[in-house]
Amino acid sequence: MGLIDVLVGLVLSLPLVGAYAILAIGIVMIYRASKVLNLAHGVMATFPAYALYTLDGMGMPLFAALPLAIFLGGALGWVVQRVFVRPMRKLGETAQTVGTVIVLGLGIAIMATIWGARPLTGVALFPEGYITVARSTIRYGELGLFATMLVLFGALSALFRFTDLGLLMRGSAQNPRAASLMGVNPELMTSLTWIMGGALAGVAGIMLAAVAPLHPYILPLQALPAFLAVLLGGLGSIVGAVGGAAVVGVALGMVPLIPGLLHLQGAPQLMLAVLAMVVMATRGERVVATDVRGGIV
Amino acid sequence: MQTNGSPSTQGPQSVSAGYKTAVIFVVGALFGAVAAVEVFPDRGGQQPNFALMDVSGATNQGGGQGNGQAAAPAPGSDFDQGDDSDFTGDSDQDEMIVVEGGGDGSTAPSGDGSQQGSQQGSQQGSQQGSQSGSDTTSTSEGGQTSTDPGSGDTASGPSAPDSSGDDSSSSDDSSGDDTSQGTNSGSVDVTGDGSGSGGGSASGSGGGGAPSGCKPSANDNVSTGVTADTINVASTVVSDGAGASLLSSSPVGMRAVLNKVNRDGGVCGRRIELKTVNDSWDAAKGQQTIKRFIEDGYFALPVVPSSEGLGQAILAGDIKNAGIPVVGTDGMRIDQYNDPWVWPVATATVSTMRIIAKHAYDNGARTFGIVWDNRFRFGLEGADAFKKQVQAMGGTVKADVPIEPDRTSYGSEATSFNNACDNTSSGSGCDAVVLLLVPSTAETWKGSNSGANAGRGKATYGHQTLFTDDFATMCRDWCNGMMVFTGYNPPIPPLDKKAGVAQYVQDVRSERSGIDFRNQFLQGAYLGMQVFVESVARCSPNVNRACVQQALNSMDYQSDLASTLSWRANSRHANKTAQGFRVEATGGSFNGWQYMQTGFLKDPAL
Repeated sequence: MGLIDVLVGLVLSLPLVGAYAILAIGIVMIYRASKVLNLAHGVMATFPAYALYTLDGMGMPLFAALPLAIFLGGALGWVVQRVFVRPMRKLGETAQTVGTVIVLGLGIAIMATIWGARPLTGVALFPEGYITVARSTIRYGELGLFATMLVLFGALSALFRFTDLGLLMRGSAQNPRAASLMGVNPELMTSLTWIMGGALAGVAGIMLAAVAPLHPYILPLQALPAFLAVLLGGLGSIVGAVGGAAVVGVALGMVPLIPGLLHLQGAPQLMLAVLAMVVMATRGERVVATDVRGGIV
Repeated sequence: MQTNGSPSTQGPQSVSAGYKTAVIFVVGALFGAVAAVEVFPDRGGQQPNFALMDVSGATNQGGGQGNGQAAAPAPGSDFDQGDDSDFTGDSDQDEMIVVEGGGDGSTAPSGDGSQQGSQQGSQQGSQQGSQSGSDTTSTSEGGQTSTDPGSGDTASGPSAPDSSGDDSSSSDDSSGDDTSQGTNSGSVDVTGDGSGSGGGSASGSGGGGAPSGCKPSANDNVSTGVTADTINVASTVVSDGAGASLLSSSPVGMRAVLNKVNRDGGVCGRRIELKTVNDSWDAAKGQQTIKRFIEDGYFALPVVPSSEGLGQAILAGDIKNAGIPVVGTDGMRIDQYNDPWVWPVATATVSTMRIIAKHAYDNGARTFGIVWDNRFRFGLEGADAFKKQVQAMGGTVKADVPIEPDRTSYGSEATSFNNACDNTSSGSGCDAVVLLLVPSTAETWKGSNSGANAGRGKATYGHQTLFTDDFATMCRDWCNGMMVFTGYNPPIPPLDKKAGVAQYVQDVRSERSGIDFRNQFLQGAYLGMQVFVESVARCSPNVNRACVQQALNSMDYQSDLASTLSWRANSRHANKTAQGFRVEATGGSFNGWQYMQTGFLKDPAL
């Protein structure tokens, strides 16, 4: 496998990296706010995609339908936090995580009931077209996914570093008691973070649905590699989440190009499993340190 | 100032390291489990018997029964030397359980083969005498409505299936259609002697009906799951997951037949009650569900659209050991053809792939490519059969690319494929390419191959899994000219003029108006349920598993939906043929299917 093959594999992995990074950023944000791994993130990504599909089918112009769909994603994040996560607080983080699992199952069932189990084609946000990379193609929508991820990453980094709101959110996540003593409502900050996380998930889902089948079962599961990306990069860092997504995306994208692995069934998952175990072995305790040292970025 | 606490009012360290470790472990274990399942898919320890797909027909090693020796073709049977069944279809496992109690059971003693044979012979004789030249399904207005299995499971008598209600039934509940037409063509022409080994034939397009004068009684010789007024059957279905895109509508086809039969008073006064459970096309979950069906005492498993779980159950011997009839399956996996208690109605995936290979070769193709689903068994078996057929004919497989379903992108796999086929903007280096994928995966494959000729060949073929309007509509111009093969007569001109085909469309649309009635798995489910009803009708009122087995082992089922389906004790390839249809899609839209006038092409290995 030569250098050219490696470069080709990297380029072809960009759509995967973009998708997983957007999802991972949302997962990290929510985790920082609630210390809960939101296993319903895939559902929170898929529902806005269906909403946009429906609004588009009703004839609503894209400039109105898109913000509305993203808003619905944020609203869903708020609902999940208020209904399924916050009430479980007294029972501990594990119970809260279970609450998100309930949302996952419930969400898939509801979406399948409303929109059926047939794969649909999501609303395209980018022009039809593609670029050719080594006898494969990358659609504009897939490139747009990666570009959007970069823009969002930059915007969120700037938000948390340079704005008062970002400072409030970071502080509230890092030390809610101290923040409340300073007049900050940590509950409000938590809810706001869930809303932002839901909106981010919605963006990811909308863009994914344009390049992958919009399906109540398939699309939510695209978030699974994003969880591994979060673990690789650290549960408390957006930068780490993007880095982790890059590792996961490249691994999944490059494996088929490795001689001998194309026909090995499950090779990408095997590689990711090994990677996950290495992470467990080498930096399981350091995940806690990341929470203490790092800010939300 | 609000000081009510957020989850970590004590600071970040309050989140226990143990919780984090547990989360990491769970996620890592999840990936490890997925990897293990993917790398070692055959958890039962049994390898697929690829010798059965030897196109030379030289080997006929044992199938699931491990007998190790092919049975000699029965006199007058209609399969060729390359038959890949080796079982003898013995009926030793007939339960002959007597239904007792509650006034709904019969007390007939268990019978031996001769008793069954004589009963069957008399049934056949009375049926022939009363039904020659008449429809098998009588028309009715009103009558009984279909019963929602979630509420309609009968529990009278010890032999009724246990409905604990812990299963989620994904079935459709359709109220009775008072305008049932019952315009079935054909007649029941049942012949056969007392031993039930003769070539009994049946035809019809609406399922079976009660023979004249047939009434259930306390003395009936019935099996578990059969009561005085019901025949309880069950099936796993696929409502979500990768297979949902082509299998989720199969229950509609099943219920279209059952609702019609039940509205007409059932089979010999017995309604057929169907319970369905979604297993998401998961092999382990499906097998466990089937085992539960067996333990709960259901009479039979009709159609069973979820082939993965059924395949596991067959390989594990669950079906054979229980002696439970599985009638009308979709032929996705080869193991369906190796069990004495399974009767597929579909053309096997391996057969379709061999037919495609031969069709392409006969039309000049010498270099081939295949993209196949590597998660589900049908992909593995079909790809293997295709490659062996190509090699046997002297062709070359230049591109052989397995892909994982449910991915968002296949960039690397597409590169590998297009490199192997030497696909460029000016042409494809592969004469023929086959897509052995489910629709959602094919759609993503298309997305990763947007360039001219990318992901395809000079001629592109699709397996029956892609024979849905939904897929063709999504695929549009990319699929223009793609040839998809099916073992049925789909509702496409001129075949849609056949009475049985038109009836099928009417029936399924009455169940769900917007259904994709060209979905071949929906059509297969409809046909499969018809065959099951016919087998029950032939045995009524003594509905027992042994009789059903004998009836099916000698049945020649004629239907407008397919070529004549003939099962025998040592041959399950009732449908050995397939015909081709071309996707017409230009100008950015799907314009319909065009019949290629191939006729039914036969599997070169059978």
